[in-house]
Amino acid sequence: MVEFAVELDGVSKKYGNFEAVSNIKISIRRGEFFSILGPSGSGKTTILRLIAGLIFPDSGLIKIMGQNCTFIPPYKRNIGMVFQDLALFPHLNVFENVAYGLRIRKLPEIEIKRKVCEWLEIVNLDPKIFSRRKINQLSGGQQQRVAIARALAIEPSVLLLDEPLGSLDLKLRQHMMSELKKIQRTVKTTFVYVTHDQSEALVMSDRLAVMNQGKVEQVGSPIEVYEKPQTRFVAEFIGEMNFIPAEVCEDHLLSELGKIKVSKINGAKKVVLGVRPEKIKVGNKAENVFRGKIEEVTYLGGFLKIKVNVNGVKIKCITSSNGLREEDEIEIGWNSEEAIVFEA
Amino acid sequence: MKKISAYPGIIYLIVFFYLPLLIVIVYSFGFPNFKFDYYIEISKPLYFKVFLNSFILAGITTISCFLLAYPLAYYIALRAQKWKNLLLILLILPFWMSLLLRTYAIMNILNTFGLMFTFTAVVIGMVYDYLPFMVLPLYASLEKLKKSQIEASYVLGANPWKTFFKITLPQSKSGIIAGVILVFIPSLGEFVVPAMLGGTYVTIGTITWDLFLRYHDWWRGSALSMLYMAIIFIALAFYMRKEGKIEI
Amino acid sequence: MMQIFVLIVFTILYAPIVLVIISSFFDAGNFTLKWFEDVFQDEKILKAFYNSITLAILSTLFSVILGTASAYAFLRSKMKFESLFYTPIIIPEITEALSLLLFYKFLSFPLGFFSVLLGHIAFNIAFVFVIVKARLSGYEKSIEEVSLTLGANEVQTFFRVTIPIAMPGIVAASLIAFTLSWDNFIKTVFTTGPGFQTLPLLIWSQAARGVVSPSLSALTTLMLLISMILAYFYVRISIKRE
Repeated sequence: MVEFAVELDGVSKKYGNFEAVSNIKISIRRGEFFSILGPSGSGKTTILRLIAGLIFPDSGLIKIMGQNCTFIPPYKRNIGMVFQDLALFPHLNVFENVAYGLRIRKLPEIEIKRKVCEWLEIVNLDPKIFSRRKINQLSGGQQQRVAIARALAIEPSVLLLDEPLGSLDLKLRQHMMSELKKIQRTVKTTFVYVTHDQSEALVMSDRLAVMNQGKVEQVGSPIEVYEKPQTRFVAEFIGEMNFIPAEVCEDHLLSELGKIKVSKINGAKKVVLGVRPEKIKVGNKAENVFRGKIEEVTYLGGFLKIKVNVNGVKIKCITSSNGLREEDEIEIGWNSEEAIVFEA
Repeated sequence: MKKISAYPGIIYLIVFFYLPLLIVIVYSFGFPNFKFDYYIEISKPLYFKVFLNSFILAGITTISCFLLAYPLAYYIALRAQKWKNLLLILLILPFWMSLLLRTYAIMNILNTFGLMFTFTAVVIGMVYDYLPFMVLPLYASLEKLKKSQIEASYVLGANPWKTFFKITLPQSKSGIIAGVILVFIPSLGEFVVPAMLGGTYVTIGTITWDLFLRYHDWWRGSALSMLYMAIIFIALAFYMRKEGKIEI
Repeated sequence: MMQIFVLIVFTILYAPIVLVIISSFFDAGNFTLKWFEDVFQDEKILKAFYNSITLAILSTLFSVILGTASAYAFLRSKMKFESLFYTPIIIPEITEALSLLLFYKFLSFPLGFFSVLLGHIAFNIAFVFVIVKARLSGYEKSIEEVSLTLGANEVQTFFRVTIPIAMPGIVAASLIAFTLSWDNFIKTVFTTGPGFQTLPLLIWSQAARGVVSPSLSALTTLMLLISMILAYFYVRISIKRE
């Protein structure tokens, strides 16, 4: 029994002079929902296409289910892929789309019929209603389901999804997110999901990799990545964060706000301190407390988002306390373990 | 890997299209000798007259086609989608049969009116055969014009004529140029129509026919064709420099 | 005003054709089918018909195969020199025809069926290329990639995905290639040799003398019929595609 469904070891790929991905090391566990999150152009789709075998790396090793398939063509890898544009076959109906991979594998007709119906049911499409439908007679959500069923029908070692929800409207997207997660729980196949949308990655993944400019910034569970971002990029890309430039001075920091206590510091002299807005409390019950003037109050339903000017540094906080107005003088603060020190 | 599947097609065109063109060039320089005599000869008055004839015919054809095609294209462009399709199909349908058959068809009528073997007959035949090549690009450019633009012009105080010259016409410029090219260039070298309807009206097309098929004079014929091609390429290059690309 | 103008133009457009059709059914004012009987009993016409149809079918077949393969390659692998396929459409037909004639003379290639066929294929490849490429460019390459991930190799993918998707374009291109070949006069007359005659050449040999004969009109009517049937299918396909 192998532990990892997909292993990338030192994988690099160049397009001309442009380094799409460099020295990627990722190990994706069997049966997990793994996301690759990053802004466009960060190389996340390149990684997916490398795993699929649609492109081959310049250097490095790619293993699927423990076997080296760095240069194996896609049709010998037994992987499923859902493309961004879904790439459904317009000349085939729903049934034949899902049956495509099974026909290539020359399964007996009865077997094909049974499997296609089974998979259509798993993705919540009634085979009796949808089998004979043409692709252009389906809604966006239904097309997603067919694409997923088609990719899963070949029972792949791993299912690759390239931003498949991008084209859907917000409501349908949220629905499909929970649906996808449910499907993954049912079939227990390893899912590798590429997206630039942090909420998709946080909601669905067991673990995720955050990418930037062709490199992996951090791999971890959604909680780890959110609570303990290892780089400033990760902190900035996922959620919101206040960044306060500061200098290390013995065991504490000096900044324009004044002296700041921190739980640990790294070796650097110049640093940036990151604090999430929701970690900042209004009032003086915290280790670090500062006085400032409220510049902006935005009501977000249930809670307020305020911008406080402390010695010229603007700090965003989220609070549920009512009665705050612009121009009010208030105290805000946070405990030292809730702030993260990054290299400047 | 995929590139390989293009090679048979490319090789075929090189052998049966580009190589023959090269041979025309070779012959125009007097193959198996090498001399410019044939180019000098075709610049003499006899051939100049032929080119002039062709230009006059092509010019009159183009202008007549334009005058007929513009209102037609304008009319079709402003119909509802269903009618547009029908009218366009009706327009294109006769052009699924060969020029030869269409010209034969028009012979019947010209015979009835006693017009056969006159310049008028040739012009009528040419306009009849080339009209759609003018209508289609004009239609394509006029279709992009929105009715609201014309209405906006009215609201701003322009009368229909002013609106036409200031709004409609300028926007159909690309269609006009494409239509002129599509009609002018092939009608310059047209053979069937002048040969069938024109009797003695000599054009580039008919003289090419005579030189090649009657007198087997490959050399003069080649030189003449090269000159004809040169004219076309200069016209196209001029157009492409202005418009960037050809839209048909 | 406009409507009357348009009506007149369309009338003029169709009148000659309609008159040819009508005249092929009448003899001195009486309805008759004897001109058609003449056509079907004329050995020369039947032979020319057979030649025309063989020529059109073979040139369509070869040009569709070569043109489609090229269109696919150019679209999916970003090749240069695509204009190689556009020049044959821009060059005047008579120039192409005489260049082929010189080419055959230069090589002492015997003129006849094969010399005509080879020339027709060259011209048709360009048309097939343009039409099929336009059709295929409506699809991203992901549609072929997904087939690869589902276990089909390149060859299986080409025949199970690419060809079916390109099919409407291939059918349209075939119809156009067939019609161009079926009707072709200029290229055929320049590259043919003694003993090989097609229907357009036969019509030319009589009509060029200014002769308008009822049996020639009957033949023209029959050829029109075939062109119209092809046009009908073409229009149906292109409307369905939209």
